[in-house]
Amino acid sequence: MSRQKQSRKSFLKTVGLVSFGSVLAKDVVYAGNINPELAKWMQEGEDLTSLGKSSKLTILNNRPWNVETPAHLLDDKITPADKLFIRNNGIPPSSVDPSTWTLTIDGESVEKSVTLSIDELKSKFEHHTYQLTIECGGNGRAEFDPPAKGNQWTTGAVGCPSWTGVRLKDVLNYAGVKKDAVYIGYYGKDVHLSGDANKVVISRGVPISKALEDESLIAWSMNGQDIPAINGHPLRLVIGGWPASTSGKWLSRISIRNKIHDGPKMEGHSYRIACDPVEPGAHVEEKDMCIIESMPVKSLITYPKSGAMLKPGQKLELRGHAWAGDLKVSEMHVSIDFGESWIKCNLEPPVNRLAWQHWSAGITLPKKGYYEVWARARDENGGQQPMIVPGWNPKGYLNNATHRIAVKVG
Amino acid sequence: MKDLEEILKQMRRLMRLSLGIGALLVVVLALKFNLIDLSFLHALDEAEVVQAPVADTALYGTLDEQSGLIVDKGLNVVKANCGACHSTFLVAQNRLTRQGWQDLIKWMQATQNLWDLGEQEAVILDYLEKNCAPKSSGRRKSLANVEWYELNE
Repeated sequence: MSRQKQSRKSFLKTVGLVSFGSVLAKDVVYAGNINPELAKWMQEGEDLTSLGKSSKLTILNNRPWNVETPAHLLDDKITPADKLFIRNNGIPPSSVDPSTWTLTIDGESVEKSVTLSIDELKSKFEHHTYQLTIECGGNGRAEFDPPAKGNQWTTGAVGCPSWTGVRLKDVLNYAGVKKDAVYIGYYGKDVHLSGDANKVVISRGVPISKALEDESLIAWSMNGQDIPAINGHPLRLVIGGWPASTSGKWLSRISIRNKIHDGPKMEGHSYRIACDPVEPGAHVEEKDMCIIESMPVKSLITYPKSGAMLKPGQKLELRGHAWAGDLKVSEMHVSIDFGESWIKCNLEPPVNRLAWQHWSAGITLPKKGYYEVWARARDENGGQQPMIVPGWNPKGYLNNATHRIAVKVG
Repeated sequence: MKDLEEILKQMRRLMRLSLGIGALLVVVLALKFNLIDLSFLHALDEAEVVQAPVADTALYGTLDEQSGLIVDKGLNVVKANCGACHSTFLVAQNRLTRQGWQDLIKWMQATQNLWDLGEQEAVILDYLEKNCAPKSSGRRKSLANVEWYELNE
């Protein structure tokens, strides 16, 4: 039985007849435009296993599903499907038929609108496979003070699976991109939480220059399999290195815009930070908020799991991944003394542009006691992870503070 | 097999429908012959709707596992309104000032189809201000809830 059902049922039990009236009234108000897809979803039980996810992931929210992956479960070089985080704004479409699914390219700056089936996408354009890092813009939000509203992600809204599809630029050029093109905006088939079938859940995008990069994909496959239903099957955008909200799921339409795309969650405070730095807790006017583009440099310790107890003299093998948005990671260090000194790690080059890089180090802790291992990546432009939480911003985006694990010897 | 399920589903639907119509008829007839006293409805104003679903006060301050929220006055009003579209776990993980919660309600009304909460808004804000208020965590908290284990290699 789903949590939704349970809560509704026992809620009615506790509240009794009087409030039943008010619940009913709301249901009636919305009965007219409840999307059948949503209604079906509301009847079905779902849990991590039924969504194809490891039961060890952390649920932040189950309606809509928002689930993060503990750092030690991100140890794989290529993130497997069952360990890829879920960040959904609405309810995924309940019935998907890839044979009838279509993608439309339109907008003010398209030469000629086209609609393509998935078969046509697969047959008309060259296939490409890239390992691409996607990270939620709000990953790390839980650490901001004062708290920022939204799902309180800690470190696990990131992953780097291998994606197969066609280049977004090949499809855009097939339809024709006018000279005045500025941005692309995606639309998907997810359903708004209120059940309003006409309400767009989220429609974001990227500047045309990012859209035309080789690694920007329209993907149908992840790690050689269908993309998991909860992560966008049968079609999604994958825009490596940028907030994952630009990688639209259940993709059905891409508009080539002659201005910055203005779909829901492009404007207001969503996926924006104050253009100029502000003091913690400041109120920032919408006009003073700027869109987040590349994500910042960041890294994770994926082995060992925090809480390791070692014998004196026991060697501690450390490893993890590092990534830096549009940039490459150039160096990786760890500290066992809260940043007083830093130990250089081995760092592998990325398998392709915008893929995370693997790092490792072997250290021996000097004596008995409590230690924290802090991991700090440095990007090719010299930017590096701060040891405290970086600049406060109203919606709590872009926390790239050093990842920490606790270790004891003795 | 699928067809059979479909037929059964249709039959159940029909039965529910006829039961519903039957019940409605009984109520209408009862009302017509003054068998039901509806005078209590007039005494039922908004405030009472809000006050009616009171959880056991002995449980105040404990965790309601079903919603992830603290049991307190107004919890059921919060659950009914804030849990209608998204799960209450989204509420439970957030910490805002009364003004912050109010701004969030306004944003949801402006952009996310949240309805006018009427007099329930104050009840909801009272609950959230008390039970979901921010606590300062500074620039970085100590690592907490570490599960210690022996690392063998």
